Amino acid sequence: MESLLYLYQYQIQKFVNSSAGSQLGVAYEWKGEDVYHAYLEYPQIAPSGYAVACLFLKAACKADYENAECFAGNLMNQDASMARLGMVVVFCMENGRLLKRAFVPNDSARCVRIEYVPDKSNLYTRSKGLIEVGALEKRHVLIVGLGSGGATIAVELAKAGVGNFALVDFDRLELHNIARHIAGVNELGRLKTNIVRDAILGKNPYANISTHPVDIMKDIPLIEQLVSGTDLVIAATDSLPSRYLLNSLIIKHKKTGLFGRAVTRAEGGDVLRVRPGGPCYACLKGSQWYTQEEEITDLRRARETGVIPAYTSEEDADAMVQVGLSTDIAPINTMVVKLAIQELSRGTECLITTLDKELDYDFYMWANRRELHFANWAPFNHNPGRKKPTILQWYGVKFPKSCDCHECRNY
Amino acid sequence: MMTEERLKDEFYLLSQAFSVKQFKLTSNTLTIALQTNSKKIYTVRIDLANHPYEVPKVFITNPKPLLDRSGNPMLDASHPMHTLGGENGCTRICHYGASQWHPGVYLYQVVVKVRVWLEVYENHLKTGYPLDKYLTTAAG
Repeated sequence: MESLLYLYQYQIQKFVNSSAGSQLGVAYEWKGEDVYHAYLEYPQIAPSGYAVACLFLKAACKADYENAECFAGNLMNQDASMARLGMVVVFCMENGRLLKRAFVPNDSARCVRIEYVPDKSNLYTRSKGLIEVGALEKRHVLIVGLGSGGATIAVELAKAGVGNFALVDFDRLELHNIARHIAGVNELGRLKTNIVRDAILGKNPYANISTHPVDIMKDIPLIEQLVSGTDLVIAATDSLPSRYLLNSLIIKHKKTGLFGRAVTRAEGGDVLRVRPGGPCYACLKGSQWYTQEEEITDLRRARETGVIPAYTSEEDADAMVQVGLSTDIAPINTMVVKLAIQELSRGTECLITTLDKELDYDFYMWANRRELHFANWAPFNHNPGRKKPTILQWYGVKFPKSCDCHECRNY
Repeated sequence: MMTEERLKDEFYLLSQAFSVKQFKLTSNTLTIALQTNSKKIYTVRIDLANHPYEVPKVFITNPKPLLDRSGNPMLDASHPMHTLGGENGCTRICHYGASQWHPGVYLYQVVVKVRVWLEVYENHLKTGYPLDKYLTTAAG
């Protein structure tokens, strides 16, 4: 029977280089799977599994290294605090080479194989060529709004190798979020900024992340500072005022921004890319393609922002909160991620930049169902001459910068 | 938080429609005196904390509070009366809906709506009909 133990390389290096002969840590075990992750210091992200005490030992010589079971057994008998050790890891330097082995006390028959959690240089080796991993690692992305859109986008960008994030959302995870959010019930009540930070670190432990659990409408100087210091702004908020504010700051600081959203009950959605000199979010107003009818996902927030007017009864307000399926939001998130990687890869030599010739629209639309705003679209299975758009396909729209747009006319 | 440029634009547009003695505009507040056709004067305060990004709150600060035809203070949110929950004893009126608002709406446009609201309020005092009766007709 073989167990698998993962160790974090940087922690082991610190321990081996220290003067300590032993150190108590913790190992998290997935019961019944014989998989452990052991830590010598508090991990960056909340670990999963069940905790057991883990002793890390440095053997002075090869003989001690091989007799570590006896040493650990004596220790467990003498010291009550060591009586419940669940794992022992032993190291020994021999001819400049670090030997390592691990065992489960009182179960000497069990063989434990040790693996290191890959270091930074090995994390994204399989993406090389397709995207410029080294370049993405240096890029910074500001994500405002960490709901079913922003949280997913953040993790996807981390998986692509983006190395620096600023995360903004004042909300905590509530029960009604669970069906669409990346987090599960074990994270109820946590700040979404911290949930997403942990999810990013789970994919890239070397990412630099700043978290800002604030309402951007109440701390405009902070959000302006964040916008001015980033390469790309992703606006994934659920309120028009916050998007208009971000639009204004993106234009002022000559940044690129992506605005993604789902419309009523995720019957569809759209993505707008704002680039210096191009049309902005405010230019969309009045466009035949654009509706301000948003998906209402949170009753309390909708009340606060006036989306549901104060005179609306509780019963009617409840009926207005109609969210879509997670799967209906997924295409919108995917498009935002594609555009984000395209923008972050500009100026680098990689295969993803071939998309520059194709994804050159300002506004992208997607419909999940032929309802409300998309009711006149052609059926998916019957679209003679392709004269109308149909569901489950992306459509790009180029629209001119409005010369009398109060937000971008001077930029 | 309005930019200097926006503040100048707002002032210019307001001054085209109203006498500069009639209003005081800062980056946080617009206070304006409006006279109705019946020559009654009302003082209006518009909070501009997040202007132009979100719908500004509009209060009638004098008379405080406004009373309906039955003499009741208009401090509650009411669809037929086009009011929202009042603050500090001032009636708050409903003008633009959240989904109609965008940063291209200037304060003079809000003030025009307030002026219409006040005319309709006075009609309510005369007839007892809720404001909605007139505003719905006007919108239609």
